[in-house]
Amino acid sequence: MSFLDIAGLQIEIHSRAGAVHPVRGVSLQIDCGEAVGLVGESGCGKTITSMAIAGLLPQAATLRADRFIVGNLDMHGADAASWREVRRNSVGVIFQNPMKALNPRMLIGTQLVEAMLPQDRKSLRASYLKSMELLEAVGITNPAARLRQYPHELSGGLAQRVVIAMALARGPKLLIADEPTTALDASVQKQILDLIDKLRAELGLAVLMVTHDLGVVRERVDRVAVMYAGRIIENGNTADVIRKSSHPYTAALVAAMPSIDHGPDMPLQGLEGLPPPLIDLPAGCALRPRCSFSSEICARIDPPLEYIARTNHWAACHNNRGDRIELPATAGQILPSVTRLERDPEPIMQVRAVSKVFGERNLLNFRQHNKIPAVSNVSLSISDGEALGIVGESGSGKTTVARMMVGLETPTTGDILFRDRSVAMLAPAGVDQWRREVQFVFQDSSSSLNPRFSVARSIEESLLAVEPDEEVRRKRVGQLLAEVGLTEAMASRRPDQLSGGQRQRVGIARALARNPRLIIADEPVSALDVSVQATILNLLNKLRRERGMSYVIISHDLGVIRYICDRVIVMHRGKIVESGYTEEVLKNPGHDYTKKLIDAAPRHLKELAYA
Amino acid sequence: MSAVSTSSAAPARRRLPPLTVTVALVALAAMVVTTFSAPLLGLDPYKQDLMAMLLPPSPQHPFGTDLLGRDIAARVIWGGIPPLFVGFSAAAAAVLMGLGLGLLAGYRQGLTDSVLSRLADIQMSIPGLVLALLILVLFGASITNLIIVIALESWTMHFRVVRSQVMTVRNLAFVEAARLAGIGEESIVLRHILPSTIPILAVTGTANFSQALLMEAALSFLGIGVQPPTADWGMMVSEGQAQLANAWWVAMFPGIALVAVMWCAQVVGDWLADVYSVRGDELQ
Amino acid sequence: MTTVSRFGALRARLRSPIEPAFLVRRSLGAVVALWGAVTIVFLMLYATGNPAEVLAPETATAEQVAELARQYGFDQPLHKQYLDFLLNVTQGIFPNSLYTARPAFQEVLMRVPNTLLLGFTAVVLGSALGLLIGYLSSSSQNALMRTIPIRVLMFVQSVPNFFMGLLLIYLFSLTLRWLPTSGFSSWRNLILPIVTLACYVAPNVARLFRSTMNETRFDEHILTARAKGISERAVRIRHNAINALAPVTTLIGLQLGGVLAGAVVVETLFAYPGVGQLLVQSVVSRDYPVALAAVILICLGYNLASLLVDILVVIIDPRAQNR
Repeated sequence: MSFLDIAGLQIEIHSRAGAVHPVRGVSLQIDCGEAVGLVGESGCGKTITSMAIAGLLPQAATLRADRFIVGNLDMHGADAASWREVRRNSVGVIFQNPMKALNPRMLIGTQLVEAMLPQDRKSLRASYLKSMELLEAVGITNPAARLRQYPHELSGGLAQRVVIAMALARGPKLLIADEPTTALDASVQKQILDLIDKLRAELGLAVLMVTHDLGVVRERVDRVAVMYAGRIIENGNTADVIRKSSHPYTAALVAAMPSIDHGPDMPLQGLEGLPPPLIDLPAGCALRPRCSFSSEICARIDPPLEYIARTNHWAACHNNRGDRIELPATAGQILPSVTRLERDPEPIMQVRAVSKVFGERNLLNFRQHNKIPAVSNVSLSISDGEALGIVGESGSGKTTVARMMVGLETPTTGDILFRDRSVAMLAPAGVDQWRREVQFVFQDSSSSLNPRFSVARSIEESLLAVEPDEEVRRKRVGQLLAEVGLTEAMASRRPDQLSGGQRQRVGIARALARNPRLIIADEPVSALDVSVQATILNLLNKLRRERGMSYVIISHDLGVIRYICDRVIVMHRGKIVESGYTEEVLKNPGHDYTKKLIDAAPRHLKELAYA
Repeated sequence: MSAVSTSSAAPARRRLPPLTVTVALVALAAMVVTTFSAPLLGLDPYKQDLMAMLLPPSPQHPFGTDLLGRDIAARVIWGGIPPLFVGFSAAAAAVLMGLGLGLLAGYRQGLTDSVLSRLADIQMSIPGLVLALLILVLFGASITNLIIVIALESWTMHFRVVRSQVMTVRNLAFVEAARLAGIGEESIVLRHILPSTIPILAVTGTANFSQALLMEAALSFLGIGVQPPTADWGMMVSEGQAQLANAWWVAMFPGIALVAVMWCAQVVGDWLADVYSVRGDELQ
Repeated sequence: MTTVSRFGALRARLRSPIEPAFLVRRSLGAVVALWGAVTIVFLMLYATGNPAEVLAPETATAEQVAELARQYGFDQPLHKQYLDFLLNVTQGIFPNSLYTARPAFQEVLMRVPNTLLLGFTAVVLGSALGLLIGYLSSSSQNALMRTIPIRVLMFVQSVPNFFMGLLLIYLFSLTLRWLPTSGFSSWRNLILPIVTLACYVAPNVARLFRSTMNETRFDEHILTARAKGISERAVRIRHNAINALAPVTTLIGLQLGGVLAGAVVVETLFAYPGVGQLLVQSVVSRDYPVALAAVILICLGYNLASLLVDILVVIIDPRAQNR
């Protein structure tokens, strides 16, 4: 029996720039107790669709559908009061960022009570008991203390549990989870997803899991629908959709995810370019500009969602021949061992027993900072041609170590050596050499480029100190842009006119300007969409091959580390808990924490895809 | 990035100001030009004519005459000089002071920041007009003193926003990237930090101008600013209060002039705040 | 199943958001600011070169001035004078008024209730008006209600307070003869001054409240509140509006200085017997002891009010303490 039955949903939003169509024809059914995933990258319309199901669309949006039944009620053209009833009785929603989803000025207890049914909050005692019940059901220990706390006093995982408790307070039949774990650490992600699974089993809930992460969806939902540019382009049983993808976009998504189960010998494939803006879309398939299979019919007719007998699910592509899509080989994909020019066995940089404690007491400011060290007794070394990965969750100290290696922070104790000399004691000529040979790529490209500067000016900055001739600099900037795969035309653009992937390439070009021997990259792909991540990782590999550089890559994603790095260091709360060759550590993790990290990472993705 | 973001590849960076703002700018410019060309217009604000006391507006005296028979229209034109001059100079001085000290405090931090911030806090603990009253009466009420006093009172407004902006920007990744590129600290300040403060200074600068003008007018109204017989809008309103019942024009016209200038400055200031997305609680 | 007493259930829902560390820090800050203000007054006095001359009546002879100097210890070393000054001020000891010969602080304190009445009512009234118009212009369904009231307020903001008062006098006292022009003989005297002062507070409050409401309208916790199925009005008021009050309250705190300055002008205009009018009178008549005492007490009042407003902000948004 279906709880949710939507057909032909279209949403239009009027903005100053014109009419935007974030949803262009979505059909979705969810049965009671079923878990369905809605997957797509940013801008595909999945969030708006899920908001429409809960009746939480902004006022400027208009909705049209052939069929729009939520919980046995026809909600097409329903008014605000009916939607409130639906939200009160049948649908619960949890959002991405729990810190933002809770009202910062109200106690947890108060917000929880607000979410309850009238009969549960008749008296203070009744509401208290019900609150405890709800919090215990989501696995919160010591619920009595939590009730009296403010949201900012809770951790991310705890706050998300509270949000789930609030969503379930009235016993809904459908739970809509919009990116419920994106803002959380990897180990906490698993806990929250396990919790949702458990609740689903206990309460017979239907779940709509909206996410960009195929890995999350693989293990937890029965069916998955993939969205692109406002339409569902593939829909079916999860295993089928992933193993036998019948649409190029799905195939690309599957192929682009660096999973810890596949290493540098199986290259990633990404999709260049961006999804189209959803105003005035041209006729035909929305993926056409980026698709390697497109033919003439793709430019004229938007492919309908068709049932494909061979693979037992639905896909919308003119070119599916009823079989699994094979993505064409991309250039430079197979990675031979890195060519070494002259290999200097001596390490480029060494970190020796370094610790870092943050927080200086400000004389007139009577506040005390934490004295917990961010980094504690860390040692590592990196030599020519190597790629070292540092993996850990937020707060592990990995970023601090990276920043100390380039001098953005100074260690409290211990030493950092560049070519066997302590960086603290380098003469200006030595500092110059250090800056020349060791460069840094920042995580968030939107803040690592001055928003007022053109791309060329930002890249040029690296050369200002060494190359006085403007003409030479300009030429060099052009060369660098080409090397990272950007066109000359982009040189005069501003960062806000570029996509995330393009901005990150600019950051890399800037780091390459002085031909470094070592590049330290802090979470180089975390802020990017999955399909774009692959292209950047491929670029990093290509550069390493062509220039013989070494890398130190900081990431929380084991898949990324496995794809690029020969050796890995695992950090937890400021200390190194394990280190060694990547393959070894992943096959036989020694430390408990490493095991936990590996456990929490999505696996089997690629394995199944190539089965 | 949501599905509904509609920014295209090349957003227009400089939008033309809307009609009201252009009108306000033009009007403001016109008033400033008229006022400062008063000496050239051959009007005499001091000429008394005791035969022509308190005459209502007429063709010979478009704004009427005051208690001493002086032509109010002439006095209104001349009377704009002290407020506009003081307003502009004080605001400029305050902006420079606030910018310099804000850069210092925000960039150096540590002891410099603590000392300067405490200084600003202490300064802000005395309401401006009160301090101005005290200083002017102890040291005399010349135009120079007026400018100094008002500037001293308002530099903290710019100091706070510049300091906050500098503290934000200096930790941004692109400043760190510049450091890694090996260009000197001075270059970093000039290339990255200083330009980022200009938009917000435009906003606080115009707000300061309005406030300074208002303070000059208020001080003159109270009798502690510009002294008679110099023409000054605030002072003229005060003189006109006694005659309000039977000669409304003495106080009204200078008052209207004040409102006109204030309104223009406010419209422009609001537009700038809108363009650079600054909120009210960051301005005071 | 756990059992719980009524008290336990109550306690679970109540908790003061104010952290003691914040209270201590902020109070200390107020004390430091006040000390700074007093020091500035001291410096002003001595920067004139001859404090005795300043504090003596105009008609005093050179001998009398010297006598005064000795009496107040102006011949003593500077740092000792400073300490004495501080001590005296904290105890409320100050020279006498040059005109009424009563202690200066007493003179000022007599007037404090009047100014307090004026200022407090004006701030409350102005804020309420600002909040109302801000709410209307952001959330009203009626397009006219959304544009006209706030435009009127914006225009009001460009009218200097003394001129606004003058216009009100002209309209209500002289033309309509509803209200008196000056003095303080009945409650009717309060109306025009309060309205004039409120006109200073309201426009900025309205503007900030409107923009904050608009900005936060799409915040996630508003969506969550709506997702709980509570009524739209509850969402708008309990979640959107009250949260939006935090920056507005901060703004009101920042405007208090301007309110006091405005009070000085408004009291003079309406001949309202408050501290502001006393300040101006004493300054004009060179009654320096009273003038300085008024300055010090105004600073004290301002800092206290500022402290109270900051605490109010924390009650609305507990995160503000952890800046």
